[in-house]
Amino acid sequence: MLSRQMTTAICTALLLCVTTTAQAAELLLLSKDNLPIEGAAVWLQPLNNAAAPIKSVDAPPAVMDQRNKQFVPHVLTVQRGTEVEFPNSDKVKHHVYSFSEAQPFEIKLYSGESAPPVTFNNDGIVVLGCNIHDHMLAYLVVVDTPWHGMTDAEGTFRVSAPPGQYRVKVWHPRMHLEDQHAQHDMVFSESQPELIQLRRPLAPSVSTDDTDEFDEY
Amino acid sequence: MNIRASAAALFILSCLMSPSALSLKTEIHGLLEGGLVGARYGEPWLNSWMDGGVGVLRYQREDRWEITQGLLDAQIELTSTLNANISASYYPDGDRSFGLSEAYLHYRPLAKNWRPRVKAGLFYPHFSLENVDIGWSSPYTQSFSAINSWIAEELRVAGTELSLSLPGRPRRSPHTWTLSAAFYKGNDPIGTLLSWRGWALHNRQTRLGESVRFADYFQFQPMAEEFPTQVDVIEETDGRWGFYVGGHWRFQQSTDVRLYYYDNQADPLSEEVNRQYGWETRFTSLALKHRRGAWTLLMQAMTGSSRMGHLDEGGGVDINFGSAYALISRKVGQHRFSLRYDYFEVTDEDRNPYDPNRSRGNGVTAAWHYQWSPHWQFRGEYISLDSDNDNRTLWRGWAAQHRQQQWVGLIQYRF
Repeated sequence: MLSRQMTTAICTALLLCVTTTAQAAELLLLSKDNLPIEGAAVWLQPLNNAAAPIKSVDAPPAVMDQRNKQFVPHVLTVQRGTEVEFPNSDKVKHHVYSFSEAQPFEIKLYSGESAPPVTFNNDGIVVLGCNIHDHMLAYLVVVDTPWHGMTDAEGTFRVSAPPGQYRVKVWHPRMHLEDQHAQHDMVFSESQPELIQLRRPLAPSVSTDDTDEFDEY
Repeated sequence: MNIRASAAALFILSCLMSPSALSLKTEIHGLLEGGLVGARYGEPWLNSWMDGGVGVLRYQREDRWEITQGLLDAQIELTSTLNANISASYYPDGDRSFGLSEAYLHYRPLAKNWRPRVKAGLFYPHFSLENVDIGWSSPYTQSFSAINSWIAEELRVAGTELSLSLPGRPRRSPHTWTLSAAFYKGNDPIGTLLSWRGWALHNRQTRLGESVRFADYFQFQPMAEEFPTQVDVIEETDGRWGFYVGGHWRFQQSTDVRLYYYDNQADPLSEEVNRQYGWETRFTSLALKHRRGAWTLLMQAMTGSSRMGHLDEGGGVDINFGSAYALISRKVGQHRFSLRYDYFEVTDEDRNPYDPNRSRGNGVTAAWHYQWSPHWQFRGEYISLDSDNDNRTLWRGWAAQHRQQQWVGLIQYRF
């Protein structure tokens, strides 16, 4: 049996190992007119032939909740092979579906019951809808890298990634195609955050999440 | 009783009761409500039409405690895209205690752009944006607007509705469009209550197989036979198909507009052995809902006509009718405050002096709802209503115009 000191020593060594191989990569996403963009998906694909680690099988599933007849969150990034849970926090049934090429599927979500998770094995944007509540809309951004996430209210994206050169991709539901196809090769090695500025303006917002319980009649 | 509607209801009931239904997913929502109800009016004969009075409010002059209603909605999932929907209810007054107000199959296939939906059975058309809560009740007020009080008591179709909807959000448009059309049997006597009793404010829905009673306005007419003082709302008298067509426009999540045209295409000369007539009734309805923050504005206007009988021989009824309401509602925490103004009128287009059908009135309704917990809701409502109905003067010494007031203090258990 390992002594407490030894366990602590191993843990400290492991921690040191992690902190030396990964660092916080930071990126700032700005619109054409220099405003921070919140809620954009960002993912880093390693260059220099360095393959991204494959998702470990015991990683926790991602969660796309149904709350007040809305998907929460509106955009969710997951690594390929991730299980996504679809809990239903509403009192009514939902019928979630997608016609997206990346992964067409449908799943019934009953109030107070948990549904089996769905595994997303193909990269791409999976547009989610609900067949009962037509205004419900969300996006799953399935990527082939573990270094992914969303920009916050300040337009900042942070991820713990080993230093090196990456191809950065950005996606937002209202982003112009030109920006969606843009690739940004960057080296994350300094403490200075990298900057991406969109070339085209975001499309205007057409909807809000401001629903009330009697909207779908 | 209408055969088609009965068949649909029986089919759905048999689905419910079959052993396989136990394994079907069923979503049930309901409410049970009771409390104190009362009214004030000058003359005893201004009581409810359901008790043979010529008043236009539901409750009686004596304050009393009662179970006011029980509403139940069940949605049974038959297949992934086919549901059976049933709405059942209990009321202490009227023809029957228990009944089915809606029973229909609803087909919602998955579709990419234009989304088709098919309903078949007995159901309410979605003309308004007021009756969106459990069992077609209103989340804003206890009583419905005059327009939807009338829809609740006299309009129900047994048929098929096809609608096509193009949601805006997935295609990055603020505009959502829906087109709707239905063909139905039944609903031939619609117009009866407007012609004789006139418009009313209440929340008493008529269920499958129910009759609605009203005052005996015919006792002064030189008629060989007694004329029935009840209407069998869902009755089919002439075998003709009725229809309605309409469209919805929604802007983002804030504004809804619905425009419908309804025509039951009834033969005004058709008559059943129980002397239920066909009433050729048609109307246009325009409804609006607009939300901004905690505020909701609802408006609806309706204009139409109804006629029945041998008008050329002076033996029929020919009316034009119209009504409009505006309702503002504000949510403050768990409280909701609503205020509604209704205007309504019926004009008499026939010249039968024994049967004056002109009526006119307006009402103000103030309501408060408090959602105390997810299951318990308190409700209070006050109505002040003026009605001026010519046929009240058929009785010696009775006046046409009266004011009625009504109040309720209720508690609801919701599940």
